[in-house]
Amino acid sequence: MQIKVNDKQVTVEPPLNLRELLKVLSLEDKGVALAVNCQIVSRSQWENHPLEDGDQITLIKATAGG
Amino acid sequence: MLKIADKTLNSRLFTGTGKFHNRQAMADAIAASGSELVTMALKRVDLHSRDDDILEPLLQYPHINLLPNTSGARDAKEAVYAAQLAREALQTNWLKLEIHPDPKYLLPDPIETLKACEQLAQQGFIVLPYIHADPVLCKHLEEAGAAAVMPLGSPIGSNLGLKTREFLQIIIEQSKVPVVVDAGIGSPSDAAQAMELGADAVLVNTAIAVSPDPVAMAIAFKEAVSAGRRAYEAGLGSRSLEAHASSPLTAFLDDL
Repeated sequence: MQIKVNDKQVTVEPPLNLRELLKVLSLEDKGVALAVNCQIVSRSQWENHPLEDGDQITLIKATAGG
Repeated sequence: MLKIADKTLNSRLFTGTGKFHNRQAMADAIAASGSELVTMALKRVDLHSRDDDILEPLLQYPHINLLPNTSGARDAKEAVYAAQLAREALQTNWLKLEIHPDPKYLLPDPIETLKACEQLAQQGFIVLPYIHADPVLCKHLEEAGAAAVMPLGSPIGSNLGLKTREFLQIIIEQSKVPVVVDAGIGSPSDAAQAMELGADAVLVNTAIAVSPDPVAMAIAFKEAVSAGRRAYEAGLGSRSLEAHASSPLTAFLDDL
């Protein structure tokens, strides 16, 4: 299925939940937050949130700033 | 000791993590500063370009509390969304609320900041809003549930110092919540002056980060903040255009 992660098209194999998506993208979960279609999904719910074709994922992390 | 919301802080110097040459320099300088509240920003993860994890070198210091900001938010709606993401990412409800729609001067939008502060305080955030040095706005933010107010000394990163000095004085005099002078502090003497005015803390980033020796500069700021606070607590003498003798003006020389 096709999803968008931070506006980039990504092809993934379903079924896939949010925690698995991070693994597929080789990303650590520390300091990261996720929203699906502009709805924030709390960390404790990542395993329970299956992705669907066309989902738009916003993936943010901490960075340097003042 | 400084109390903000439920936290007691030993250091009145808050620091940022931006503009350092590398993350080790950042961590070393922040450790040397003694700062216990450290700001950071959020960004979208770039899937094609992985950069350093900024958190890792900071997490080795248990005394450091994270203060994510909403930099990049242009209105209250974006700021609330960024705040909620920040809370998820960093597992803290502390927030530096920052809404500046104009990238040239990065001056904060007072109306959107007040709106966002009301909403975020109701959602349980410990909100520290970055604002212009506007005493009236500060009172509104206090009523809206801000845990502290963070008026600017001058534009972000300008190193121009306390251009808003008189307004900061009014804010400090009136505020029931801690006042943190944020933005524009370019030198340790600026920080000392803010503390002498009675600011509860200062937030410094650029002046430390861009120094050729960030660790030494961090120590200089630490000492300046401490000295400024001590001077405020001791009580500064009054100012006058006229001289007031500090030596006795006895007339024994008149006999010559």
